[in-house]
Amino acid sequence: MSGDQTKSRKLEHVQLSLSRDVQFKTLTTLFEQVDLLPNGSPEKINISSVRTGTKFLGKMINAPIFASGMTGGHEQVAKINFDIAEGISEAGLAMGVGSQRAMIEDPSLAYTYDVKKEHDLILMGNLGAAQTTKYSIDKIDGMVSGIEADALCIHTNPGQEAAQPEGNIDFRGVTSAISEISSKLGKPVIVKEVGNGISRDVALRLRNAGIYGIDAGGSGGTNWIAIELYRSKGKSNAEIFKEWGIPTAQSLIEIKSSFDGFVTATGGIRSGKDVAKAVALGADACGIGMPLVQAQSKAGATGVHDYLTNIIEELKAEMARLNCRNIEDLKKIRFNISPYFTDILRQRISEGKLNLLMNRTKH
Amino acid sequence: MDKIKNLRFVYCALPDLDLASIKTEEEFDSAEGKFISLPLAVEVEGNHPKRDGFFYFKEKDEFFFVDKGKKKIIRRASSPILVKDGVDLAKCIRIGAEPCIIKSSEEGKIPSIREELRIAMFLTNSKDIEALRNAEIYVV
Repeated sequence: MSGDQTKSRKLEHVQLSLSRDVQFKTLTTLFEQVDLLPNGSPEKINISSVRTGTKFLGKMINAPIFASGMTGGHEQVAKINFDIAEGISEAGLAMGVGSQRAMIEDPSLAYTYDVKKEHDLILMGNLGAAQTTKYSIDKIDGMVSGIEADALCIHTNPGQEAAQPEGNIDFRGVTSAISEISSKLGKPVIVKEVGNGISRDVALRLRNAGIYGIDAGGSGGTNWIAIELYRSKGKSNAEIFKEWGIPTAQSLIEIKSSFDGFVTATGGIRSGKDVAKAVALGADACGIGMPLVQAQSKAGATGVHDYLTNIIEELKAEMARLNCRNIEDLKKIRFNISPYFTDILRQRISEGKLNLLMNRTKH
Repeated sequence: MDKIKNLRFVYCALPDLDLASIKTEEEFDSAEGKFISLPLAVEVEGNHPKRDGFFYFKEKDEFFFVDKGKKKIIRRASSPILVKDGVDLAKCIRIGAEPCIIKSSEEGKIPSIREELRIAMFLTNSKDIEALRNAEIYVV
């Protein structure tokens, strides 16, 4: 894979995600199968007294929301990262960048990820799982330090790679490499999927690998297999896998049944209500991806900031409805899960874990 | 097809595999020896084909190989499942319902079905057919 190929792929990804309908069609996040129930307090809370601040990688952010790492590595996408950084910084939140492989192959592209030069924010670097067996710890450390990232996200994406015309389809040794990076990097390592979800068993393997956190990266939002199928122009054998994956809410619950570290939920988060549901189900924060790229393409940093402000207001309104003063209250809120979703969970998590979950539902 | 319609494989985000080296063949026994093949037979009627391959004879409800022009019977079948793609085939293997069949008019699709099966095995962390039989599934 040449640097030029990587670079042009970065641009194509953004162009396709903005110009084509690349959302999941049949798989949803399953958050619509969850209803949050107001706590029984007789005292109603005013929205102005709701506090959404929470800890993220050891520092406070204004709400449990971050910009999921999406792009970088091409001069035409640099402004996306810079505008998102400006909007995120003004909103007091955190962000990730897209895969930094491009800057390893061509160091002159490092500036497209270097958002902390202008903005004080919490930043997560990014590398593909298939690249973890190809680069030394020193190289990865240099990549992370080069943009002053506070953590490293390793994105795993076998579905996307299988559909990609030039995909890296050799994942042998990746779990061991992730474990080695976790123990030697000196910064938190978070593993995330890109839209097909993390299962209970993969979460268990990651727990045993010693990682700091897991992002569900579940199905229901942007569909990266669909994006790669557009790029392959009908020559891929992966067409029938377009609706494969684990819905975000299901992935979140499966992860929490195997791993009690830092957990985030990305994949189809589109409203403050989605954020509230994810937090109630155990997420420490929620990642938002494509909607921020779309907001940036329409109105730059202002568009990003307005989008984030709106989502935070929606979250506050939902928390007020639920009588939650703060995020800690929200984490304890009761909820109902539909019979359809409960039946899936019954097949996927242990009876003990399911009972713990059901204890928080209203009978 | 109803048997497999509501089955969903659990996607594996960290397969410890190289997609290109996944084995999609299964070993079949006959009185004349072992045969290795994708567990997908072409449904035929009338006289048995002269060309080598793996077939299902509808009138006799039996699977057989043709090897160097000679017919070698593998087993009697019991309403084998007609599949349309590699995910159907993967599901049938998972529930022990292989070999499956494909209409003779669709025989040209076998190479792409094989590749679809390979991808399904990759995304369920199944290095071979035996591992696929134990892949995680659930019913929706």
